[in-house]
Amino acid sequence: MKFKKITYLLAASTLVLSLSSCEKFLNVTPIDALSGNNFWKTKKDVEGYTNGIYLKLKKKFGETMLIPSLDMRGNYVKVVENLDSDGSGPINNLISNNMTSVMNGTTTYDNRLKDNMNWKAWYDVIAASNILYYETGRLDASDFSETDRKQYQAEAVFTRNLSYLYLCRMFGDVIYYTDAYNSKALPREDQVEVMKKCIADMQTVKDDLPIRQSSSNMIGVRPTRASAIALLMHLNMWAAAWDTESKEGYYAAVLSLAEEMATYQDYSLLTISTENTKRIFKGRSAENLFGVLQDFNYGETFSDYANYSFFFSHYPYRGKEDKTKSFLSYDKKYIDKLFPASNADLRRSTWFENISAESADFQFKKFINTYSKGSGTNITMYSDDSAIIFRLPDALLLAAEAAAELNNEATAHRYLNQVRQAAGAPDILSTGLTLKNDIFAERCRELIGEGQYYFDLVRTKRVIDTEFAKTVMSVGDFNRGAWTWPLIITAEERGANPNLTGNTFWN
Amino acid sequence: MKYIYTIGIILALSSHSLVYAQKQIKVTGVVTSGSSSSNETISGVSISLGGKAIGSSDRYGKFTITVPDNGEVTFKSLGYKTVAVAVNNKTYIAVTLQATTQMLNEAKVTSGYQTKNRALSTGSAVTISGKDIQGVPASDIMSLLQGKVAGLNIQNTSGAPGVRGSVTIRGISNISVSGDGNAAFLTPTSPLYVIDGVPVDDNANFSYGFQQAGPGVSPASQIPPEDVENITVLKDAAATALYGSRGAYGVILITTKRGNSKVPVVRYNGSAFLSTVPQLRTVIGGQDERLLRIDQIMKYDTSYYHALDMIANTPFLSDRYNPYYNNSTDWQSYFYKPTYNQTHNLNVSGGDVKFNYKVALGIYDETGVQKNTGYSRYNLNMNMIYNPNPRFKLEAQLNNSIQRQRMGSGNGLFNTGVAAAADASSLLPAPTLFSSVNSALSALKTEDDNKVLITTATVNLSYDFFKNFKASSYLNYNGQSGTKDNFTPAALNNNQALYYTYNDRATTIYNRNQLSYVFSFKEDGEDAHNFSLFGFSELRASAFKSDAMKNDRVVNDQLQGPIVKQTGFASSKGGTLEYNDLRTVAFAGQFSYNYKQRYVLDLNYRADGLSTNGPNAGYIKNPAIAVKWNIEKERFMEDATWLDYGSVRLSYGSNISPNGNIYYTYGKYYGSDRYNNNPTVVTDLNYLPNLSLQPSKATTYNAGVDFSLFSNRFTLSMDSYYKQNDNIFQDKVISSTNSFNKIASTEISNVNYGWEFQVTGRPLAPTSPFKWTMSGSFAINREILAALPDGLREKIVSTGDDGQDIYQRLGINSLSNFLFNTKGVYATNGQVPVDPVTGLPYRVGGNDPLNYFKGGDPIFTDLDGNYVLDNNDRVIAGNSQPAITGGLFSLLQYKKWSVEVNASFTLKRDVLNNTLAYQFSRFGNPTTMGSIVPLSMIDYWKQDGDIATYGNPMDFVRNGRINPFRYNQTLFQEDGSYLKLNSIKVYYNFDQNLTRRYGMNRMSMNFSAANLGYITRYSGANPETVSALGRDFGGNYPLPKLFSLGLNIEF
Repeated sequence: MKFKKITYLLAASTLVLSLSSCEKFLNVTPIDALSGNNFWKTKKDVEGYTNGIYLKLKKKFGETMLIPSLDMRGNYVKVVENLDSDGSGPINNLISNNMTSVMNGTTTYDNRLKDNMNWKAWYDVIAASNILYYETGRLDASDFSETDRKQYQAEAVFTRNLSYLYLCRMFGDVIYYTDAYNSKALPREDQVEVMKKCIADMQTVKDDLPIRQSSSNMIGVRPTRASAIALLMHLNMWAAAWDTESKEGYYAAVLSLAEEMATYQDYSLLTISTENTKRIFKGRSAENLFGVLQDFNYGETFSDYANYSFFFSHYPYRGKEDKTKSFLSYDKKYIDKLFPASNADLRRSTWFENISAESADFQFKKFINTYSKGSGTNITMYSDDSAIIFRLPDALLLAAEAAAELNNEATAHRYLNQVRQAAGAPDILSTGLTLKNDIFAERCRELIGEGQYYFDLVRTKRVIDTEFAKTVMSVGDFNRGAWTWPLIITAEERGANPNLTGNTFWN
Repeated sequence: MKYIYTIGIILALSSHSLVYAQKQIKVTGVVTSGSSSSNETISGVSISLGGKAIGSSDRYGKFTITVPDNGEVTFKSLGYKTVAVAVNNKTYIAVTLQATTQMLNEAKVTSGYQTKNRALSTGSAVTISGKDIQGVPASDIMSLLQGKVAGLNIQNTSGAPGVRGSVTIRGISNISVSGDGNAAFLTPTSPLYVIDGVPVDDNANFSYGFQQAGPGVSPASQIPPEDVENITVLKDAAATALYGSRGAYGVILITTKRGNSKVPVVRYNGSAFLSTVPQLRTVIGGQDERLLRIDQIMKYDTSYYHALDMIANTPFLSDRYNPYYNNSTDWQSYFYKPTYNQTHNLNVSGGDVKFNYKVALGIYDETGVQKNTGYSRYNLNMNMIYNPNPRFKLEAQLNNSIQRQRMGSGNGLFNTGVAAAADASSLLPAPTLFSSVNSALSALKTEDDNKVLITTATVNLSYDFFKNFKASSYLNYNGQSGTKDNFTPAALNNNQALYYTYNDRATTIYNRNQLSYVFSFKEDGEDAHNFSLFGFSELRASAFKSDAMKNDRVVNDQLQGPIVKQTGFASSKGGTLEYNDLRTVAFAGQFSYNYKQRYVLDLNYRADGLSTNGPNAGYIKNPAIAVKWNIEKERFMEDATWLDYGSVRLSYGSNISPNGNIYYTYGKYYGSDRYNNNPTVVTDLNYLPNLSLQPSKATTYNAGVDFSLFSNRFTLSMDSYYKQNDNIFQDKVISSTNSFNKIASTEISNVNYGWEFQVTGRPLAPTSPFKWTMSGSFAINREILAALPDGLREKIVSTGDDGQDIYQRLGINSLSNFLFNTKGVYATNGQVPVDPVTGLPYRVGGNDPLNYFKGGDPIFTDLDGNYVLDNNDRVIAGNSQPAITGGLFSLLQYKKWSVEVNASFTLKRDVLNNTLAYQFSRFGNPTTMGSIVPLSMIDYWKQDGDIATYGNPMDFVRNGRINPFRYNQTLFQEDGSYLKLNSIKVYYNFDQNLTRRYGMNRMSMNFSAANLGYITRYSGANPETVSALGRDFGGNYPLPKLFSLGLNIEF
């Protein structure tokens, strides 16, 4: 019966059709927001998500007191003018490493400093990077080549290891994971192990990053191979500080990384001048390896107090016309030792005014890109400098340090003097311990205000040495973790992660 | 059901039997129903002779046939036992057909989209006839099932019109608690409703109303009780297996009436009913309130002069001549009043096997006993069956309803506004726009209007390709739109009126295509090995979206539209509240085998794909297996005539229920601020995508026995079950180092096990003029927590400031109260224990003498023995979920009268009497206005040496420290067991000869009274209108008593 056959055929084909279209049918596209099953489809999605990770970095570097506090803690600075909102007390506590008071305090500045004691923002970057890595690994799109995939994955690895670097440098042992969508409650892991994993992780994908950024607005803002090298150098140096048994290996690795960096033609030191200073700290010069962008022209600005100049500068670099005082100043004794008037150094004249005033007249002019709001006498100046995380002199000085540690003094001199020449300062040819101290001093000089000081102090253990530290730590305190930032653990967090322990010294 | 019946008729018609030549005589007669409460005649009864149809009864149940004088005539009608009558030369035959119930062997049981006879049905199912629930007006049919089905626990937690109580089958399936304090509620796990073969979801968001956003109306409430043919409750996995996704909480099948009379029948059911206000709280009025407070201050304040000062500084105590404070207002009387209400239903049906139709029109209108509340429903339900030949059948159905609910200032389930207002001091003047009790005005003046419009259309086609092979297809569309308009006049909102408007839209498209095939191998000429194959594919897409706008700067009370000028952008609030799109695909099959109906085996399998399942979760497979042994079919039982039937059932199977939404599974992405002048996309950090999100799963083992003795005089059904709920959904807070706050976790498990008994007895002989049917249901349920997230063994869930925390520990019931243990009242100071180490008496907190316990304070157990009462002294006490539920039913018929009594009970349940705790706490601050209860009603400590139940409420100075009437103590945990007289119904059927004179086929009247009263030891107002967590507080809407007078007419 023909009719019967046709109906069978119809029934069968309906069944088959309904089966094959099931997957599509079950894929729901909501209209009120974008859901994960409809994201991760094109290269544009990946690019947008990657930018989202940098936005998270900007939240950490640009909307907290992170960088200024890293340079103030234990440093030879003092409050010379009362800060607004009762900031003097917390800042003084910070300078003298009195972190318990900060942790228990509730004023505006206590809370700003407490941002450093909460590590979630770093894990926001890590979790997002892990997701980016995982999802780009699965993405199948016509406009997405294998090179693209590798590059984005390498960027994800870069951002997550950058976060781990900061985490270890601030908290010592941390929770480490690279799984996307991790939900497990993990315990803290030894920081040397974390550093080793990060080094291996970054090393594997380093060459997937481009040698140079093709687009000019990406320079210094999106990582290149040189950025990865700078990160690796820092990871190695930090590991060497704690894994003292096998530190030579890390130093050697730093040297070979520095050699690789020298082969890239796009990076060079800029001679110190007001113009070049502006270019460097805008973030897109030949010196910049990686930074977090602030750009008023794009409407992307930092919080006031995220800028170092907020504390150390006054009008015309910061504030209104009537702001003629800086809140903080460097100690005369220290700054004169660092920048002796007798020695030629372009940095002394370019970056300072009233350098040894040790008063509110002190003016710091390293961060002088500004934007203004208001008009007439109501104009207020704000800093428009980016947060510079890695730049060439930093990498060169790390190389010099590594070479000095390996007693390869000729190489150490070569790297150190490259930086000094760019500042118009005479070469240093010292040897032995003097050379190591000179390199440390050079880092203090060159990277002043860039958030490196406290890490260097801890890494080189000079924080326990009265000659280098204003707030000296006893060896016992140091070993118990007095150098770390306290970690604030909420009750909710304790419930969610019973494996988590605080920082021994503080908590 | 129709299908098998139809086939039966067709088969009967087509068989060729010989009719012997005999003398043909004309026989007339009437067919009446023997078991309906109204003893009605039955129309459309098919009459056959030797398997050949020879006629049917007319609309009055009368028939005239021509048959051989010695023939045997068979009378057959849907829903009745078939009766064969020998003619024996009689010319008038009065036939009484007994209605089939599920207890009878011939009864059909529908489950898994198939109808089978009782012997072949392997699941645990109970069917309630629509007749049994009619006669009592109700906005929601589920409330009428209370106590009728063993294992179906229905608690009418609120008396608000249109608000449905809690419905659970075999214990709680979710232990998540949200909300705070008295408003804390348990995540409801309502069963799946299948209305005329189409599943309707009742667990959708916002359908509960008390989430405040929108109107909350149950989808099951759109069917008026008068239009219900029957309701079947499926309890075990064998019965629910094929309902797969969403079958995990049990399934309730609702079948509406069909037309089955050749002549159109018009039926009218109507009733007028009175809702009366139940017993309210007793309060002290006027001057007595003032004097009590003054007395309290004078007696218990620290010093005489301080007391005088305190009174002088409290105007409402000292300024008694101020007319503002010189009143005796009965606040409750402003909110509660009895109301008169009505319901009308008109049902037109007709047709025969080939074509029949039904149109039902219903109106239900109820004004709540609480002012400004009410519910009305208008519905028009139609269906049509076209069955031109035995192979083809088309069924179409259209249900429409408009429901309107007014909730005053409350949210349906609770009305805290009224509670607060009714609690105002009697000294204050009655509510006017100028008085200060805003909550009172708000309850009276807030305009709250909620409307729900539901349209359901179903088309069902079936076709037999060849014998025993049948294909059918269901297509259903359900559209629902709800609106809520809430207007608060300017006087109540800082002189600027507030307007809140909400609307939602839910649509569901459902399609099911099924194939079935039956074949048998014969043995000795009869069907011995019977096989049936049944399979279907199911597709469902449902979407829900709700939007709301709030305008809190409306210019005046006359302009109630939202489109007015706003003072600022922040004052206008609006947007999409919720969006949900769920799609499911399922494939299911059943293989059944039986040997001469003696041994029955059912194998079910169902695979579900859900759009909310994580990509790693895949299709969820649910197998089920069931066996049954029908003893009465055994050869050795052939002579046992005392046994109508007896069977043993065993089943195992699982079901699922979808969890979460697409964002929980895949994450939510949105565009954020730009970076480096480029757009960015970030993930919403609230929920970590859970790519392995699993649906909740219920696995049930069931063993059952059914038997019926002495021609249906005694029937019993027993079930014993073990039900494990796994993957219970609950948000879990995760470590902040994972960046996200929460994850949709499915790590909780609980177990319910229990026993259910369903008994029916007919104690009187069939020959007696009295017919008496008694039935009872009894269910014991034990619930045990089996797993918590992260392998935790115990957990304390905080539910707000009142400290009534919930203790969850593996191995005991999931929802234990965690309370201070109160063991009476210290009669004297000497009874207070003293710490032998410090010499300090038992105390709260520090060493201040005011912190020491004294005579008149409650004795709290010092669990940790440190002589200080603190949070470590709490104990696990009680269970907020009932352990035993059931009901009793009695129907007595005598001639034209019948009396029906329904009762239900809940035993072994702990209720927290927060109302009482609150009333005591009112004494704690005599300078704050508020109603107080007469102390004469309470057994409290008055002086040294008194042995009392309650401590001294008057010592207000120390009350703030000792907190003797803290909510979280066992003193306020009471036994919430009750026996409730649900309803009494009296029917009277008018003589048909009389009614026919007026052109009416039938007429009956009924009087019924519902919610008549409770037998309980509970000291509060009502042990049933408490929250699902067993908390009784003043915000609960009282359950009104209903008295109704109804009229049923059939033309």
